[in-house]
Amino acid sequence: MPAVPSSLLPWIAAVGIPASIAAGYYAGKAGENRKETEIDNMRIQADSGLPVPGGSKAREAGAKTAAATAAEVAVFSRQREWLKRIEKAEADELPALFKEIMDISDQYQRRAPREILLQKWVRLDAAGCLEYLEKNESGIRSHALAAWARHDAGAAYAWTQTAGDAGKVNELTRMLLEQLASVDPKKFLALAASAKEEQLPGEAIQTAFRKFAKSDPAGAVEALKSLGDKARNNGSWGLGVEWARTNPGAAFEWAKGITNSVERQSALRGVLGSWARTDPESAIAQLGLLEKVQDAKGQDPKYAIVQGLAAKDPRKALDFISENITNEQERMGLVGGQVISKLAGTMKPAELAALLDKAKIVKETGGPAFIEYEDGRIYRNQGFDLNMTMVSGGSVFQDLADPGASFRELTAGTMSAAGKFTAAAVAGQWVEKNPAGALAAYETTASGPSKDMLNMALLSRAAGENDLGLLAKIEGGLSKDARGNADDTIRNIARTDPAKALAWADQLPPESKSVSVARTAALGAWASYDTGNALAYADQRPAADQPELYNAISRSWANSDSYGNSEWVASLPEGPNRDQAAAGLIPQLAAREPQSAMAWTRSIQDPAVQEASYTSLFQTWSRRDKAAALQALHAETLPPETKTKIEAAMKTRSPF
Amino acid sequence: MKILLPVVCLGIPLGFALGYSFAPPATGSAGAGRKVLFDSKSSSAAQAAQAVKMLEEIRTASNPVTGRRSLLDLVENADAGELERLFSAARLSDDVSARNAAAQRWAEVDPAGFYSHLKTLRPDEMEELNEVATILFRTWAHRDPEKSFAEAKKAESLPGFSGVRGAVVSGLLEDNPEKGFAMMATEKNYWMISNPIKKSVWEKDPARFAKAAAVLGEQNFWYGNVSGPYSDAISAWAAKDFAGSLEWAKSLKKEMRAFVMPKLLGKLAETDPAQALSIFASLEPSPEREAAGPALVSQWAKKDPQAALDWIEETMTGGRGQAYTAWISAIADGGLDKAAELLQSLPEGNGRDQAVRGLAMKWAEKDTAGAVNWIKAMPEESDRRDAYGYVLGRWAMKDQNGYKNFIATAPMGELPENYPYYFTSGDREAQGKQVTWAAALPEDRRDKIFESVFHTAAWNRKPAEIMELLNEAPDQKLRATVAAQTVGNLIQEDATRAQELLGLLPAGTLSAERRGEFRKSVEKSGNLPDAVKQGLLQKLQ
Repeated sequence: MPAVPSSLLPWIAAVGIPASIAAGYYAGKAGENRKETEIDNMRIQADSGLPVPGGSKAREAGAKTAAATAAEVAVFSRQREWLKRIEKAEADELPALFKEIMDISDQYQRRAPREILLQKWVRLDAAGCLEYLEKNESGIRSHALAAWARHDAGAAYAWTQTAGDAGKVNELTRMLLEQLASVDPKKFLALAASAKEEQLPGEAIQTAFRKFAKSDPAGAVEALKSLGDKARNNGSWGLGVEWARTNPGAAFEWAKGITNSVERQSALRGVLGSWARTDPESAIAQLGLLEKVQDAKGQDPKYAIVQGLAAKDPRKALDFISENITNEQERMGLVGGQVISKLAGTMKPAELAALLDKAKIVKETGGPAFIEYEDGRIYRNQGFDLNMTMVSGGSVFQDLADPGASFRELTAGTMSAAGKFTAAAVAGQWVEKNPAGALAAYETTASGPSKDMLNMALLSRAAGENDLGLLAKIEGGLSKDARGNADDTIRNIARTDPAKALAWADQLPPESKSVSVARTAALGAWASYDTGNALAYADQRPAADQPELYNAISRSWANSDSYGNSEWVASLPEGPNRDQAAAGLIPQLAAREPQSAMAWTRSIQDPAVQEASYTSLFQTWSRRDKAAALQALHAETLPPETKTKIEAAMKTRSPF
Repeated sequence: MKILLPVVCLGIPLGFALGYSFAPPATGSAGAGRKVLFDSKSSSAAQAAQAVKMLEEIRTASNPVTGRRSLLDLVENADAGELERLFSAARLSDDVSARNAAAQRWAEVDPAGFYSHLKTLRPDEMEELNEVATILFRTWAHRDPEKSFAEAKKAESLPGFSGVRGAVVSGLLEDNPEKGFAMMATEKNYWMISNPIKKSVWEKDPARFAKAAAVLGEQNFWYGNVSGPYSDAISAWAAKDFAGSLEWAKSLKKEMRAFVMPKLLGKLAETDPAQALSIFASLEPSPEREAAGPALVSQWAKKDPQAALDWIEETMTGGRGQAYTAWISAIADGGLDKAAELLQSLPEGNGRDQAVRGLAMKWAEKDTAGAVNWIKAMPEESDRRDAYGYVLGRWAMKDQNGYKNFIATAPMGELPENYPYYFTSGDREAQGKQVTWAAALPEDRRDKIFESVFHTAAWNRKPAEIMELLNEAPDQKLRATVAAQTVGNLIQEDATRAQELLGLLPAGTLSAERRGEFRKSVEKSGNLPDAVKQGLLQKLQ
């Protein structure tokens, strides 16, 4: 390396150092711009929906970071893109742009551009905007009115007063006032003073005073004085709710001092309801001030007290419920929704059961519940089902390390109502965590409530997983109610895979009730698209099995072709198969050709099958024409006791 | 000179570094240099006031677009501490737009800190912030799905955090559908997704989305909000790459194929009905074939209704009813009257009945009165009752006065069995008006309306209010019937209110026989406090 002459050093210092500063400056600037470009690329990728390559660095850092960055950047950059388009749009382009925005499927992404567009639109042509929404998106009119109210409440109000007939004026004024209440409570109150009662919803007054109280409770108290009775009741409640959040003592003193009893009760409900959420004991101490006053607004603070207590000490909440809440549905709702999940986190299931028993809170009927859907699918509610309230088993006992041990503990002696209820919930957890262990326990448990609970829990798993293998292992122990759920599961599988259901039925012991359910459901499904082969299968079965299979085929066939089906039935030789095939025709024929259905029913020889067919026929017939059906029943040659039974059955059937 | 050498040696690199440090940030949000929003020396109250003022200025900007841009600039520039100020200020002024924007950004830069902050809020305030909790967890899921899901599981029992597990899954589905659906399947909670899965999520790569969702199993698509996007994804995939989607469908279990095949063939039929028919014909007789028929018909009927109908008659067996419904619905999209006319060409039977119901639903959505007239004009032999009930239910919902007028004037035979329940209200004033109105009706229809109103009143009215309603009953017999019905309900649901109502009922309203039945019911009840039980028994003497 050649030496630099020392005489050049001053020049190098004088030029080089400033030059290096400049070089550093521009290098830095270029770097920043590169970063920006990379992120812009990510935005574009994210917006376009393409995967984000992120360059080598992003790949090294892992897909997680790239995905996070892309998604995060996308939220705001998408908004900025919309803003650009809204800004550029002329008035006549706004409807099309609005429609595009409404097509954004994510409500969180949709809201901001929609609101900004509406704000622009009401500034340019508010009446046109509302007219468009009325025709195309009437649910969004309230948002447009809110935007207009924010911009020019007076003009919006004036417009609503001439918007159409009295009904329309009331509807739009009400809508506007509801929006204005949360936008500008003072303006709301000024306009509300001249509004008719039907234009002024109580909820809007409550909203206005809640907002007012947030920034100026004293001003809100003053404003209340100038209102009418109904408005004061609503306003007092709203003011009480909000004020007590920041200064419960002052709010309580104000509420207590109100002279009008209805207004005072509304205010006290609001104040105590809010107070109770953070200081339930103080609210409880003042419960004596509450009176039953018909027109008082707001919810009884007892519910807030339960919530407040449950957050701090769920046992106290339970005691409070059992002593103070008498409405069965509310008791169950509060225990299920507020207390049990919190108690379960602090104690063993057996202790929880003992507590619930002590509080006399659980009915004998509690336990895991099945909800049935029309198409035969079933869904099991895990865990507690308190009358109408379900608490997810997952959140109640999610940390239960050994649900099997808990189950054994709960079921060791004589079980109380809550013990059964709790054990049933724990059984559900056990089956989900360790199905093989629960099944092994089921197989070695003696008959009784414990076995029944495990059976129910295992059935629900079998139903959820479409697991016929598991169902086969437990179907011998199904209760009457559970049998119905099991049958639904079998039918559901047979509907989409008849061959699977038939193969399964062949493996079951002949005395199993599931055999008949599986075969008839499968044959019915099969016959709906391949009647010939379904019939061939039925004919290969032993004679004793055939009648019910003929019935299933006939029912299914009659659904699509009752004429072809009846010709087939007519061709069959007399006997059980023909009787059942004829019975399968009745439900379809009875609806529109009752006389023909009568003839087929008369032709059935087996008395039991015939009576069932008559019942089905007259039930269906009476839906269309009760008088004619009754007349026909009375004229038919049947034993009087049979007619009485059928007539009773006709009454129990609701037409809808 | 010797001094200059080290000056040059050090000065040049130092100069470069100095210049670099002075380089301006790139313009735009992500690259913007951070500008401190609040003076750290000012008090926290002063900072809060400043935040309120900033947001106020944005809200009142004369140009809303500019205002929104300023808001985005503000939150994108802010650090976690500043976002807390902005978030609180937005809440104080009920500025939902600013609140959500601050929440979004805070969730991006410091999700755990934001979560901690939310947990410090009053529970009743937090109950009003469920949307914010959703934003937090969905955004957090992008960064750390496992951690956010674990926290969401714990949080769900806290006030305001319900549904946050679903928010995590929603966020995860955006990045990694396989992982998102696997999480849903593991949790066995298909209701977690409370909002429909975003279009932008499944549209990114419909094939990947459809394959990933299959892990849920056919029987679980009906739960939550998966079914719609799943169907859409399959259709989108079929539109892009029909051969690939068909190949995949063939590899599925039978249950899944019956779900998937209709979507595929329906999509194909939009552009190439001939090929769709040819594929249909190649399918073995099976549930999937029967399910695919109606999907195909719904496209074909739009172009050639008669050919589609002939095809149904020749080809469909078990799925014929659904095929007729698909056929009539497709025609109804082009005109209800034409559909009503063509409906008559269907052969009588279950299939036509299903088509009648399908058309009734379509008609009632567009024109309830027209739908009622259409059904009333239908030949008597048609099984039109289900359709009639549905249409009247819609009528009651959309035009209560018109429906009430119908109830009052129509021949009794024209009223559906459940006619009062279609318009029973839980509102006290409405209940009062309803009984006053019903009292003037002929007995046959009046009594059922009373029973329906008192059924609801037993749930939501105070005993004194129930008495007010009872006084509207025009005769003693009806009063006794609905009073007994209400007491019976209250004994089951709210023994205290039952006692109170019994105390208000005039002597003799309940017969001795009914009182005896109620006494037995109370005696058998296992979960009534003793005092309440005794009180009830005394009042039932």
